[in-house]
Amino acid sequence: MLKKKINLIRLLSHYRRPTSIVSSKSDELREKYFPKDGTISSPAFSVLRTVLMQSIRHLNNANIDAAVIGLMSSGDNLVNARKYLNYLDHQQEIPSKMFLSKLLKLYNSTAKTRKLESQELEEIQTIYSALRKDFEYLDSSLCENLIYGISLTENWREGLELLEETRLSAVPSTGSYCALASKAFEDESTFSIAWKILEEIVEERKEPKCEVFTSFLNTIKRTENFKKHLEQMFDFIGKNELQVSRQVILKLRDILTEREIKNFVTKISEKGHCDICQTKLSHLQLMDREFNELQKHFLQSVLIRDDVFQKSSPDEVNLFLKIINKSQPYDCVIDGLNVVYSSGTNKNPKVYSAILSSVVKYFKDKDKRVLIIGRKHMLKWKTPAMLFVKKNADIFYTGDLSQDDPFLLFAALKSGINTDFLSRDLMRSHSYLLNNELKTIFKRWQQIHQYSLVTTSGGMRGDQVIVRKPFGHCNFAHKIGKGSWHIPFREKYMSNPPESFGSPDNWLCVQLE
Amino acid sequence: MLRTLIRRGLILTQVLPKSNITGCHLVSRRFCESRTNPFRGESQTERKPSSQAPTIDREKKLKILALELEMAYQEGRRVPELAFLSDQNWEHILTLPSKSARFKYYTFLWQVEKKKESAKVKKEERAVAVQARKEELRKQSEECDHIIYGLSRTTMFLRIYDSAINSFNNNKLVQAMRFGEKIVIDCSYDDQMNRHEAVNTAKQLGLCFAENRLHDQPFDLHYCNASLNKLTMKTLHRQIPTMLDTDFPMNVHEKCFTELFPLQNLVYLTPHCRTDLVEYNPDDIYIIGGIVDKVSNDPLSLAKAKRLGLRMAKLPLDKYLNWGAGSGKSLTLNQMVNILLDLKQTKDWNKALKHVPKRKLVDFDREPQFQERKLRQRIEKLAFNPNQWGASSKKVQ
Repeated sequence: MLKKKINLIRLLSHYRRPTSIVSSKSDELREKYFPKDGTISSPAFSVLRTVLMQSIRHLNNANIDAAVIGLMSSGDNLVNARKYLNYLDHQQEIPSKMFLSKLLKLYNSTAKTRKLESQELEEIQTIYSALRKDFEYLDSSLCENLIYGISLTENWREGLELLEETRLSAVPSTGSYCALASKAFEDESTFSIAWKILEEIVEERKEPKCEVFTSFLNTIKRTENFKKHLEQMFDFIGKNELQVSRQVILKLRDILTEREIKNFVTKISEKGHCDICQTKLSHLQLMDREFNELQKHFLQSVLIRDDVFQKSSPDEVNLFLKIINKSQPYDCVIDGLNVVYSSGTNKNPKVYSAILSSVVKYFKDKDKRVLIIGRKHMLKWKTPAMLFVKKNADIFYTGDLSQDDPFLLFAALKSGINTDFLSRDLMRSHSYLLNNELKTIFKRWQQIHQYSLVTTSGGMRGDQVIVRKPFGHCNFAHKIGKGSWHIPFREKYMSNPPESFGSPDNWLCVQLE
Repeated sequence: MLRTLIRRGLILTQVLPKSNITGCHLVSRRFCESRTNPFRGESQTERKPSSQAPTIDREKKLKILALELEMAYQEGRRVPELAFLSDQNWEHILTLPSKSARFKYYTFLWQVEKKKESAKVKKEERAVAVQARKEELRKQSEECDHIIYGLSRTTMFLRIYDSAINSFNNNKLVQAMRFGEKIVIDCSYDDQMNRHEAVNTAKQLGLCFAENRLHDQPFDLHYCNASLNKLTMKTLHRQIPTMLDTDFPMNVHEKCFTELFPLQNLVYLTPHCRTDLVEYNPDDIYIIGGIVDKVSNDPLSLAKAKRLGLRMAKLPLDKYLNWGAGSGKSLTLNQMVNILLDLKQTKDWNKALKHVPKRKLVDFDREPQFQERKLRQRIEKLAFNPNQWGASSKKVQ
């Protein structure tokens, strides 16, 4: 009972009210009026229209057509949609523009399941030209549907103009980009256009769909420059840190096996070794130029911003800079309160200072120079363990009303490219404040230098400290040596993948040479 | 067949909004604080607009957006009819940054449209019912031969007019202005709020004035840092047109509270500090930050108090109340004023904090039933079939 309820709550929390009036009832309606095997007769359409208009309050003559075709969105309903068009013609009614443009989209989804006949392509062209002629300007939804249509025909290059037109009022959708890119990938001579579109997709921070890569792979399998093209694709997904889906990987494996190129699905160990070929993945690297850029802009972008008083105060920042300039470099900067609160909040200072001292000892034993960032209220912890901490590490206390994370990050950055920091916090709220370019650099830097405390144990003078090292290896597709590629992939296509810090679960190991 | 159909079908009546829209460009979100910031440099935080978005002229954009609306309407989405939108609506739509922001606004307008429609229908139904009842009464009095008794609606009580109550309240307020404790609302946050938040703030400022006036022992309420050419104060001025008259009992200053009152008496109430307000001190002048922060939760009032070097305090909300999950601990400005009014009068936090909305608190005895009810209500509201939803979401995966 409780489990069922929790389930329900979870479902509800994900639930969004659909933007379309019909869609909440669409499953029900589809089942009732669309026989799975056969087609619908004209009288059935009149019934459907009346029923829909009666049962759903906000439907009227203006939006009924698109609502009907909305119910036909899946699979082989093209026949029904065309029948509906016939029916409208018979009734001497004018189909709405949205209906016609959605019909183009339906052609597109049908094209994924079977090859369209030449007569159907002609129809697409007719509808397309008629719609284009009718409007002086086009809005983004019309553009999208028109692109879906035209990308099936020989005149698909007109779709590129439509993309430009879309940008007047919105960012083009992933679907319309991908429809064009997959068409462009159908011929080797137009590859350059396709790659340009793909660059635009990733520039908009969208994920290219599987169909683009499948279309690409289908084309190159017959070409002479097979390996060159393949490496171009690997380069692209590596450079943009994309993860393709299992579906694409299966396709890729088929083709590779056909060409007798060795390929394996594999896992990568925590130390970065491939299970199959035993090569070690490349280390992540940060250019000096990139690092300097980050170092230069970090304080302004994250701590000071428009108003330094929100997170700190001018005096505090000046003091901090003065101290850090004098005492750097450090090997490791520790987020004092984050480390300490790993045992839970609301404990006494004795516990806290014991943890801190054991962590300091851990680094001291490795001969590291340590800086701890804390808050002023820590000065009240008057325990022997704190004496040990003070003797073996430098501590900077920020004010109780200031944020300590930006100080921590800046201290680590300022100390140089080799300095690590210790915190469990993923620092998302701070990286959010950086611009796109710096965000990428910051994440890379984090992936190389962020250590996190797993546990301290062994009582008050706890000496057992377990610290997780960063993965530090490339977690995107890359080449090692002459032609050994490792490509991470995910189970399913995700339009909006979560940010990942560790190593992906699934990899494909390809030996091109 | 298709050809003829399309030739016949696509005779489009050009859809255009009324093009006589005039007005200024609104909304500049971030601004530079007038006081100098010692660390001001070039800012990295500005998010660039999408790199490829071209610039187009206004007329063309309006035409495109009108078409977008029309197409969404034809598609059966929750958007209003084209004719429903006013010039002001279009003006606002032009300022919206993205397609999804526009569609959120369209959906909002759709709700307004539908509410108006159903109100109109109800009004008509009511008119018919009233007419029927009148008819019935007329019939009854025709059938009845008796005279109707009564003192022709006279009474022995004196009538108290609204104006009498009004001047009683004003008198109280004027007394408070001469002898009462002072309290300040800092209205300097206009540039950190978006349009929606600023209008909300103005509404709440109006309520502050009204509720303070009705209280037994009102405060001497001061609106400080009020810039009359900005949206918040403009909206408030529209609400209370006599606001700036010399004989109207309301203190609106363009000056800062630091120039009006002794510094050592000022206490800034900000939720971001770590000191609880223990008890009400009649010598202190408390400052409430006049801001509605729905979008960002930057500690603006904390920064301001720090910059000015004022004492800070927050209400002891955790000490006296059990907070429920979800809705946050933010209070409206009029709730703040009410809490302070009752605190001053009763010196009792439990009574003062009665003004915190019940929905934000947990009643441990009735919590399970309450949750149950809320869940059921939501399910009904969404016309939600859990089995179907679960099944279809599985299919998608």
